[in-house]
Amino acid sequence: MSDTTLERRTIVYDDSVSRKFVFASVTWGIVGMLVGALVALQLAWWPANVAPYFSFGRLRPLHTNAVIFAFVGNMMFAGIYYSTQRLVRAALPSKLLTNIHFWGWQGIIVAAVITLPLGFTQAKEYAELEWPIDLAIAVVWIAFAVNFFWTLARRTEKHLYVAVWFYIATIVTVAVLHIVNSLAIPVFAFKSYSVFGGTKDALVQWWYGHNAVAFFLTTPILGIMYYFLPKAAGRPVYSYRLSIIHFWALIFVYIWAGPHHLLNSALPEWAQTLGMIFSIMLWAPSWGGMLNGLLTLRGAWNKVRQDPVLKFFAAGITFYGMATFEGPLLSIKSVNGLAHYTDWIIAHVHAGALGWNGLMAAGMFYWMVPRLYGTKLHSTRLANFHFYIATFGILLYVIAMWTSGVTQGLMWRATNADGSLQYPVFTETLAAIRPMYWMRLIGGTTYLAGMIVMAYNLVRTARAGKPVNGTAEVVVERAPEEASWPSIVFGTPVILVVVVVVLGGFFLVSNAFAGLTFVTLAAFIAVFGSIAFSAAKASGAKRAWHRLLEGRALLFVVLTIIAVLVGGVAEIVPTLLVQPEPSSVAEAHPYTALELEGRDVYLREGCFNCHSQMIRPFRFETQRYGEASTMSDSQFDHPFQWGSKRTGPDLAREGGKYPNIWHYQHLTDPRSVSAGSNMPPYAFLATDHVNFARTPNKLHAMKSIGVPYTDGDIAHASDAARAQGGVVANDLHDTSGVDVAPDSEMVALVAYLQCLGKHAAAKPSTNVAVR
Amino acid sequence: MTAMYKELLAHTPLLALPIFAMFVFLAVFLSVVVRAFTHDYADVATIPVDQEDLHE
Repeated sequence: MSDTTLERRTIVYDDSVSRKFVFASVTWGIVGMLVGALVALQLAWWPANVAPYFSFGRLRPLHTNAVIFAFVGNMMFAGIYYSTQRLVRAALPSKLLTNIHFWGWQGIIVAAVITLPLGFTQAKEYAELEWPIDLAIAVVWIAFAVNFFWTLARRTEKHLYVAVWFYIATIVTVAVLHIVNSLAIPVFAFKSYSVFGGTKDALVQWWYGHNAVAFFLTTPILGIMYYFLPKAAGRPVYSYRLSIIHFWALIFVYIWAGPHHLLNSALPEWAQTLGMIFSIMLWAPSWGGMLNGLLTLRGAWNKVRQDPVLKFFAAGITFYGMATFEGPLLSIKSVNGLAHYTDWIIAHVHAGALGWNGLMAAGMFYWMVPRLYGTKLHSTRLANFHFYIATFGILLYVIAMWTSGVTQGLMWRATNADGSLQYPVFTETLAAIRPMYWMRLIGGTTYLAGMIVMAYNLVRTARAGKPVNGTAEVVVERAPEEASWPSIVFGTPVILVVVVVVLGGFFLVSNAFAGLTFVTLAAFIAVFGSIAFSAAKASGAKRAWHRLLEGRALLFVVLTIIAVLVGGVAEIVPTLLVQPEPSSVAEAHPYTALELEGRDVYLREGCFNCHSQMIRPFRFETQRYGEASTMSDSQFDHPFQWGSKRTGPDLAREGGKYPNIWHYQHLTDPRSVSAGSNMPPYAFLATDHVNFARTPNKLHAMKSIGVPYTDGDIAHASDAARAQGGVVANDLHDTSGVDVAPDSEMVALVAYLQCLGKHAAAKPSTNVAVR
Repeated sequence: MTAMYKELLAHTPLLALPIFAMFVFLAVFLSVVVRAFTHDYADVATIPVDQEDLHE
């Protein structure tokens, strides 16, 4: 610091954006949870599906999108803007970008609220929004990123505190995830097909889906924890060293864990194993972070009893620990065999969303709002009341879904002494868990009541004060110490890592003896080189290498991207290049024009929210549904429809199990042929018509992404669809006297359901159970 | 390459990619752990709590 000149400066932070995001989060949180309560009611009591626009299949994506992107998203932005300005001691640089970010994000949410009930969906979980909205998300995210990194560039605090690292990881990774998973071929204004198909789409989707949890619901909230928890507790984080390890380990490991959503599926075995191993490894950094948070409260537990903010934080971090213990557990293949497709997964995600995200949000709001309005919290007693009913609500919800999930899993696999299924009728399992659905509704509604109490408390607080912006007196280094780029890029740690990696490469391409030598040498250099380097640093006057790195925001960003991409690329690229067995490809053929139209109805109605199309290689599954699914079964599915939950049975080999009339009756009035079903009725499909004039466009789009339609198929698509529709309609008339138009959506959907499992080379089993 | 590697990579040669990436992860993780535990971050850790909450 020998050449440094000091200068005193006053900074006025722009807190108006945090105020707006806080109240947007609270508002959308209530909306999202209200929709959540409605869909919970629909599962318990089917008449709550009051109209096609408000059926479970269309509202469930609205619920998840509202809670994830509107409630947590707005909360995250509020916290990031508030804390980043203070951590780097710089005000936001652009009011325009801030406004684009805030109003653009709210516009996207409104677009979701309108389009999802209308049935405009890409049918990929947590990525349902259609391509124009996806483009808008990318634009708004870029505005956010520019605003954020511009703030970092103006910083007067050289060091980037650990919370900022988590924000950086969030911004760059969400951008990568969103862009890759949203790659789609537009067909119409609000209709597109994913460029990925079948197994490849499954891997990309769950690489995205899992990391949306990681980098949208976890890393930003961890950043918020690392800032707001020390502030509220009045003491620094327990271990800054642990936070460094927490960060790098978490972002490096998280990105690999996506395939744990596809265990026991048609995904290549190596990818499943990789996903399972990294998911279990994830336990360590997750609990490192949790312990770092909870131990920050050491010696301050008396404050936790009095301060609702710390209560919410302590409980939120505890739920984080619980959810991140449960996640690796669920990723063990055998445990996953029981839990997957059941309500256990619903319990897991809600422990995270309500317990971790919701309670951390509440703690942050109760801390921020009084400061944003220069006053005190309206009512500490109400905040404490909110805490207790929220905790009670979560526990009720989670316990109900655990019980329901384990019950479902056990009933699906229960067999008699002769090996036959003990519960061959699927709705038997549904009847057994229905009380749990009511209990879940009570738990969720209790939590929602807490949110409303919080909204009242925060509004009263805001009205009692007036908006104020934070200020800070800073002493700026005019000529801060800069480490040269070569000293960082060619620093000892980088050289050590390169040497170790090169030796690792030699290990992979050499024979067993030489490989062993190389890997031993690599381990030796890694361990002893690091120790020697540390000793040298400890004895010298130079700053630590990581400290230099943290001072270089751009380099830090680049290394973060590399850390995140290593896992993603290594996992996705080999899978994208895998092809089904040649014989399977030769025998498989794509959907007919009418089946494709029927499939679009299936996507629009959100059938994938309750029905999977992936028969796992378990005896109890093949007995119930037919032969286990293979890669070739879904190779032409853009998007894939493997699903993640079975409120109803799997449909992968539904084709031919029942006559057309059974499907007509089931869709018109599910309970007429399936007693105890909670499926919404879809009678309106019989009077709604498919526009066959647009069918060739759909086939053309499919062809452009690799589905083997010929030019003739495309040219005659409309006529072919009408002709096949006539066959189905005539069959319905001849067998049961039902008159339905050949171009009705009902006929198209029946045609699609009847082809499931018929197009691929694998043969459906005849040994199937009844519903 | 040995027979073991040939068998491992027979159907998907690019399987070497995740194995290599895992190795990179282990190297980086080891490096970060050693670095983190050999330096003092006491001054940095107090950044949030050292700040005064002034308002206009």
